[in-house]
Amino acid sequence: MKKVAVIDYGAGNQKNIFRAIKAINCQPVLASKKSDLDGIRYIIVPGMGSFSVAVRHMKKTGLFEALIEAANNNIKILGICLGLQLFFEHGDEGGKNNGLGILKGKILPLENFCDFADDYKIPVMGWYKIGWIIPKEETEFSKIINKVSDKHMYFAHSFGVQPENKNIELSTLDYYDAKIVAAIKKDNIFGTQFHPEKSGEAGLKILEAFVS
Amino acid sequence: MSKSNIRIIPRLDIKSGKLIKGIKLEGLRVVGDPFESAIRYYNDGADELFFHDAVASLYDQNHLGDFLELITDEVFIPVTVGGGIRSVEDAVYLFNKGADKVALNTAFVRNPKLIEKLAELFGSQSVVGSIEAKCINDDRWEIVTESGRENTGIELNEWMGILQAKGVGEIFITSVDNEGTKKGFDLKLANYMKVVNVPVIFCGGFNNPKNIHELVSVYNVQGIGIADYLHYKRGKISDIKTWSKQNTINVR
Amino acid sequence: MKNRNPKELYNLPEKVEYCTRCVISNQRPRISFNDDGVCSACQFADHKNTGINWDKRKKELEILCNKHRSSDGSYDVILPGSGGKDSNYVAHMLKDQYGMTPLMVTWAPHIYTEIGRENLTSIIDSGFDNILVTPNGAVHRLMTKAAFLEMGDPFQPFIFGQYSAPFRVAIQYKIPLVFYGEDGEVEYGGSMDMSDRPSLGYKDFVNNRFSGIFPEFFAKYGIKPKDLERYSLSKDELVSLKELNIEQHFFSYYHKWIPQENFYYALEHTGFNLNPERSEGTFTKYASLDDQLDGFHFYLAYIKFGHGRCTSDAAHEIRDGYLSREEGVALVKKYDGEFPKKYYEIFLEYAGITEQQFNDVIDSWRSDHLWEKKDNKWNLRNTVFNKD
Repeated sequence: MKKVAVIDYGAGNQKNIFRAIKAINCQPVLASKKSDLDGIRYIIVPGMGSFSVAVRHMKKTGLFEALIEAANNNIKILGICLGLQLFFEHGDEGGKNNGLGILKGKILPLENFCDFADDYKIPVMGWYKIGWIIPKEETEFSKIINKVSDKHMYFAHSFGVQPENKNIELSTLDYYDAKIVAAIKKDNIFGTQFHPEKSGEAGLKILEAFVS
Repeated sequence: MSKSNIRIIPRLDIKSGKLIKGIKLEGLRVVGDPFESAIRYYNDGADELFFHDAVASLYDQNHLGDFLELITDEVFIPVTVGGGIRSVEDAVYLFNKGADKVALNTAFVRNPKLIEKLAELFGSQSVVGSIEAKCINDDRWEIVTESGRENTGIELNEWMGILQAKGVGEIFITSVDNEGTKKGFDLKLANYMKVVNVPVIFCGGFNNPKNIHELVSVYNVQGIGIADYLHYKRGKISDIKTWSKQNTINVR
Repeated sequence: MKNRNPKELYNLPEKVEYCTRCVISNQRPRISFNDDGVCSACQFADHKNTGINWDKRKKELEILCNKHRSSDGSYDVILPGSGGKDSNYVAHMLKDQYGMTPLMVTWAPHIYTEIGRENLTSIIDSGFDNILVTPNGAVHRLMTKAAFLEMGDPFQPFIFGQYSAPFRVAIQYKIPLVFYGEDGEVEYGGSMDMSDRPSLGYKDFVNNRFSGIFPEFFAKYGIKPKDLERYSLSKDELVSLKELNIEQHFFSYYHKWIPQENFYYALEHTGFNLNPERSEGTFTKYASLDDQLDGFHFYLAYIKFGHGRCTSDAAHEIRDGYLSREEGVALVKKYDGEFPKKYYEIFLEYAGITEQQFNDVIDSWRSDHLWEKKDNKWNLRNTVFNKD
């Protein structure tokens, strides 16, 4: 059974991601310190809490460096919502703490993404269908993604990512007049702005794709 | 522009492990088993689940932890919990038990700083401002606390502005006058939702899928809370969604 | 003011005990506890659930209604009612389910609350004829003051009228059936010996409800005999009562009485509306809403017996299965004995008494076995929440 480590950055609620991992027949383990990642081939950075609290906590426990190392060593890492944002260099939520820097780009409040109409709603909350850019090369990953490419996913966020390299964008959400990145993939780094563990059966498929 | 889907959110009020339902927040009849009902709603297409501890304000404590732990083992959709949440510790406890969002009413009114604190620690998207609004006269609504027992004298508009300014990610508003009455949504109240830019879940009075149509013609709501209609088995979520899709209302 | 010695007057036990199932104490007059510490009202609630054949009782009601039902749509039953949930329920049931033509008779509250007035209008609008009997205001105020000063209950004049005006109308209209809602002694006192009778003779009926005090008692306050007469049936009227064979029945005998269900029913069928705010001294919004002076009746019970409105409401909701005892205790702790300040000034003015007089009367009803004074504050020696 594949082991999937879930990063503990002090924000609670690993329960739901644990449950989802079990539901796809994998074994979840909590990674609270660097050594917990020894021998781990799949890591999830969950999506709960605030950017600065997460960064501070990870730096304290050594997980910050460990994650960068894992990224460089081709370990598969999935970042969910806040987790995706943590991959980037800068954070804007709650202060100027720098993120992991595994990906280049910005994180911005959604208000910055376009001139929303008067009746805009932020945070983005709810179920949305998203447009997927499926790569021509068929892999296990893309096969599974294809199966749920027309399904709704659950979003709950006030910030969005703007990767420097647009080629890593895997999926976008059309929200009012803005195009918000819904998923990215760069080699071993996978990230979703939505919550696969909260997106019903379709979301579980996304997790399956991650460990495939 | 992508039109949001309207989330269909069953609201379950729980007391001593039982699913209960009152009218205008008064009188509380036992109508079923919350666990069984929640699973059924999840399987039937619920977009989220809202659990409210109906006696929490009496004991100043939320008792849904154990229930949450069990239910989040079975459902993979967002779960919001409310009732008697008074502090950061209370919120942490419930998040650890599986809640995705916490909804507060009385505690926020007593201490608006708590809104900022929770938003800062957990992100706005995890913090829901729960409002129970009562009509005072033709144009005025006020908010009530402690499961409808205490009037506050606070104007609805003013309060919604405060919630938004302090960082809630969502507002779950229940019309005290309509809830449990089956007379449809309070459309006059819905009109007031235009003052905020956070997502709004509107609850109270649903008795027919047509009510959604009536509601969206007044206000572009992000979700609706339903209790009586589902708990008394007057209809199903799948029926609501079928009707909605046939009538150009976006639902998942 | 001299202490009124309620302990002796009401024959209250020295040691305070609480029912192990609900929140009522042994200080409620005429209540009793069994060996397991369960009060008679709870025992009666059990009996209601298991020991009564409600189908049989329903059939008895059908027979009774068949006997009295008019064939031409003229009034065939007098319904003492206020627009409250209970009388609305009874009125609608008798009309809708039993085909009767009720004439609702309302004995006016001392001072109508807004919601009380609204609810009376609603029940009338929903399809009922109503006679509102309002006593002479000046006389009524004097009697209220007298009742408050003398017996520690401003409500006595209301009780006089509630249990005589409907009969007066029955006599005048020659309608031999008067239907009250609940038999309070049975439902809340658990008087089992009265529970298997649908009705009481008028004498027993009023003896029970007037607490042994009759209108004549207030003559010493300078109220004319003719005015006092309005508050109870005269000798001639009592004769007519017998001659016309006027019967008084309790609906709670025929249908299982559950106040909360009456609320749902009344809301759904008769336009009944809740109190816009929580009633003082309790957690509910659906009971006893129409009189601004209501709160003082309950408050004085709190002083005399140590349990107020919340205790009563919680107790019957526990018996009907809507609350756990634990919740009931928490509610009593939170709300029981809450001072009815909303209409306090109005009450003082209405009754023509000063704040000093008010406090003197209140204190004169505090029994030593229930109350103690600490740091200039009165506290109950025993409460259901500190006994646990």
